[in-house]
Amino acid sequence: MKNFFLHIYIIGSLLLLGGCACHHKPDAYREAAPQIYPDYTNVVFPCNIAPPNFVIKEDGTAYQAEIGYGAAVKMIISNDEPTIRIPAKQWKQLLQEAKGEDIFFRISVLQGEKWTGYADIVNRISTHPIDPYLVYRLLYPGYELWNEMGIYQRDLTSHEQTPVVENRDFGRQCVNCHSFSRHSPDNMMMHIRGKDGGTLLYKNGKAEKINLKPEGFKNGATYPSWNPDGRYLAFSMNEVQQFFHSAGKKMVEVSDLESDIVIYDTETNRIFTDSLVYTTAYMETFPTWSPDGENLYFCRAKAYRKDTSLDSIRYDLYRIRFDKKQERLYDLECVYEASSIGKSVSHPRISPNGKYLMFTQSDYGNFSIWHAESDLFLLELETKQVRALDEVNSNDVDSYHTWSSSGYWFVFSSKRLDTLWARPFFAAFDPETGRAGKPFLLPQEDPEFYNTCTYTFNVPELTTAPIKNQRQLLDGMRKRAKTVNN
Amino acid sequence: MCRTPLQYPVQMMKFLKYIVFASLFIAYFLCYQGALSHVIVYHEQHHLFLFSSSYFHRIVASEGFLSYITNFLIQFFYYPVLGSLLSAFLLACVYFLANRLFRHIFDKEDLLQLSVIPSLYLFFQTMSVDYSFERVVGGFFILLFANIVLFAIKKAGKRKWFISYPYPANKYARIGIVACSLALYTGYGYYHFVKSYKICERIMLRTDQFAKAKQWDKVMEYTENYLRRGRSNQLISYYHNMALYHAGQMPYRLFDYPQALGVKGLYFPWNANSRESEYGHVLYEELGHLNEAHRWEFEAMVVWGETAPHLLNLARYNLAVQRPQVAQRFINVLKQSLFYSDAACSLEQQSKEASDELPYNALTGVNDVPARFSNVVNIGPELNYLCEKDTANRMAFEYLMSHLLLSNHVEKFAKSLKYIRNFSYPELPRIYEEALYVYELGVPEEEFAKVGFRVSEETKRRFERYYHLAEKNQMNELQREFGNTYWFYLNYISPYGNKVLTN
Repeated sequence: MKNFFLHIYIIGSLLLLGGCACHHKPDAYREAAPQIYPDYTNVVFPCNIAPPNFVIKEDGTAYQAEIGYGAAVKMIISNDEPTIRIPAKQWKQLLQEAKGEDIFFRISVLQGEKWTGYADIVNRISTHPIDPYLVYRLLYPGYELWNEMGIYQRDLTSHEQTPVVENRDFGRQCVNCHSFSRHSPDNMMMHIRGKDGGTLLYKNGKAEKINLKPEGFKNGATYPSWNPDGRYLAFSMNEVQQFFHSAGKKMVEVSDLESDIVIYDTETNRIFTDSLVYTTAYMETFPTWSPDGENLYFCRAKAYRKDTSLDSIRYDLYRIRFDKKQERLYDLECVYEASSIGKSVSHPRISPNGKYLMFTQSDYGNFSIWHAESDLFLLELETKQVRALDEVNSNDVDSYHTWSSSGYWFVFSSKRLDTLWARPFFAAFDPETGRAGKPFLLPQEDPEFYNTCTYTFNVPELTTAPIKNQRQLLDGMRKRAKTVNN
Repeated sequence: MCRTPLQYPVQMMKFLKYIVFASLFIAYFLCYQGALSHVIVYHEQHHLFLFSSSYFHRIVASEGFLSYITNFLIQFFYYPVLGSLLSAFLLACVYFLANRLFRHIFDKEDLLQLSVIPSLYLFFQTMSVDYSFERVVGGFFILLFANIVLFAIKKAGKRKWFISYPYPANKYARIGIVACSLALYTGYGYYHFVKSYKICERIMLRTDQFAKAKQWDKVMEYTENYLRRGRSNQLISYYHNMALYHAGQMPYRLFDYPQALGVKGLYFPWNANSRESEYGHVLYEELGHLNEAHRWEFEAMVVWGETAPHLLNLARYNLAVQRPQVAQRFINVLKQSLFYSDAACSLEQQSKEASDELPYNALTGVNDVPARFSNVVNIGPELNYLCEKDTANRMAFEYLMSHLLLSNHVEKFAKSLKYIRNFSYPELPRIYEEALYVYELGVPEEEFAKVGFRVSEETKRRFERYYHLAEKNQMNELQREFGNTYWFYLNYISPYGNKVLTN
């Protein structure tokens, strides 16, 4: 027995020594910083983000990463592989200690017999945390058919992803357009398409399914936006169709053939609208409320006719006032006429302080996720000045974005990694200056996760708390859809 | 020491389970190598095992651990001999394990050879490709587990699992019962196999497998085998017409078999059918219309999962249309497999240097401004577009002509015949002349002259004879002499009626 423990002790010691992060002092230095993937260089991290594991893209036989701030090295990670997995506990501690300061990734690579040190990779830790959960739909970035899909939530403070709803639990129907009121899972909704279709509304602790395609309306409720008071939901009612490019690098065009805007009152279960936003002459879509709930912004284009070519449909940004007492929409105004410069606007979203409106701009149409030229733009609402967010845009799709509840962060979908799959990127935002930081990719446990992930991250939405009522949501989905009062 | 002849059966009884095991194994193996060879290939093409932790977590979470094990085993079907051996072994093991289970429970030999039944049952189930192989693997593991548990309990001596079972004392009676039982199973097994064997399923799957391997002579052989039986099937017509094109026979033999499905024998109009999604890409790849081929293949992957054929094709198409980063994602997935990693590496190499192994892109360099969108329910506009943009695309031309003929659009056919000048046909193909003469008969002389082609006197004489037989309603004679002409198709076969369509 004594020998047994002795063996255990020796083996354990050897294992510990083998795994020991012994420091290797570089024999030579390079002035350039090493290439790493994902690109976590010169970015600002929230002070509660999960460890940004990465791969060193330099040739070598062994790798070392020293991570710290100021003059202090807080951790040393050594590996025979170029993959650097940062220990969660030490990373969390570093985030707390280095709030508001620069941190460094000091990389050394064993090349031949010598360790080569590279220039430090510098990132900054913000004093502002990001909303801790990201909710998105995972599905194939395909065409028309679907099979498995689900809405998932990712704890941004760790690498854990959990399902919110998976369609294998409700007859492989399509689930989409999850939306939250004020970033809270206490008031949320999502659509279900299929034989038991409807809109699942979760409010006041109750989940119920509503048929938001009432009689007299040609199309059903599609793109939602919660009024900040959590009572009203603005919807566009779209007839959406897919088209497929015959040639060239673009694959799909998703276009509206009709769309109008309505408002659903969750308290009276009633839908109302106004002829200013429910017209035959125009298509109105992507409604979004101002933080005070008094203005509804949306995109508007001339109505589709049989001879309209899809690449001539261009959306402008509009605003209409909302009188809550009288439940009345009035005073329509064009805020940004993108069509006059041959461009088209989609996905307007206003910053929590009400100062900025971020939108996606593309050459035509409104389904910008299929447009490589799509970029994020920022409109300063007071001055009406518009500028491209060059600090975050890429050569490929940069589209669907959501502000964090604090306004210090936003997340957006970008296809910059491979041109087909949308991945969530985060960027710091200064609400005073309107400047954004360099965006960074959602960290994963395996930094090469995205290289083999064939699902796209759709509709990334930040929430302040996790969704815990999965069972209730599923039960709600299985219920018969309630009809809307006329 | 010499044995009497009567001692041999007695001796054999000792090894009976091994003999039955070996017999079943050989019989199953021969079936999977012969009449059921399509089943092995089908399963291999519809499953893909990856050596990665994310694959493990995904499959276990969505389909279960048994599915993970099944996929692991099915990957070896890549070599059909290995697949047949493995399947035969598992099914024979089901017999052996059931036999041992019987022994554990009754503490006697299985005289009626009841333990053959689960194995035979599972084997018969696997004759259809729709049957999940998971159940065979599941059956094997359940029996294995039950054996281990019972064996452990018996070894522990805690309980004797004897259940009373009538057992003749006379050893020759026992031999007789065993022999009769085995003869019964063999006879019934043979009868059931022959009765439930789906020859049409085999022809269709083999055709599909040969078409995807571009073995067009084999496709022709199998489709003719099917069509000769007087049957009609969209998939068979689809591949038969493609094989006709590859044999250079499309304008000559299009109507050798009745094209009762009309244009649907040429292609699959998109109707979001998950089963059809597996086939559509083949035609578009052959035509060089790669964005459409990609669309069909992607839809198939969504429905059928990330299997090797879909991933390989998606990688190939994306490389051919200059989307290397997209291709790389599919290549990365394939690199995690055992048998497709070489193919993936080869594609990766092709993405770095120009390769003529990639699919032909008929629309290379075509500017998508203004944007043009494919017609997914009617291939006609797509074929026209291909003929305009890729004037040397003979397949597009022959398919366009066939499409117009099969859809009764004789006028459009005549007006599109101009494209034939881009190719070196020795003379106007017989079927085209027949259709052209129909057009000539229906329009004024000056209108026909605009087409710029003449109909031969021989064709006109043949039409006179056709008309004469039709007038006299001599259908047998008409069909025998003119069953393979466009005139016969237009008058008697076309699902769009016997009138020429102008709109």
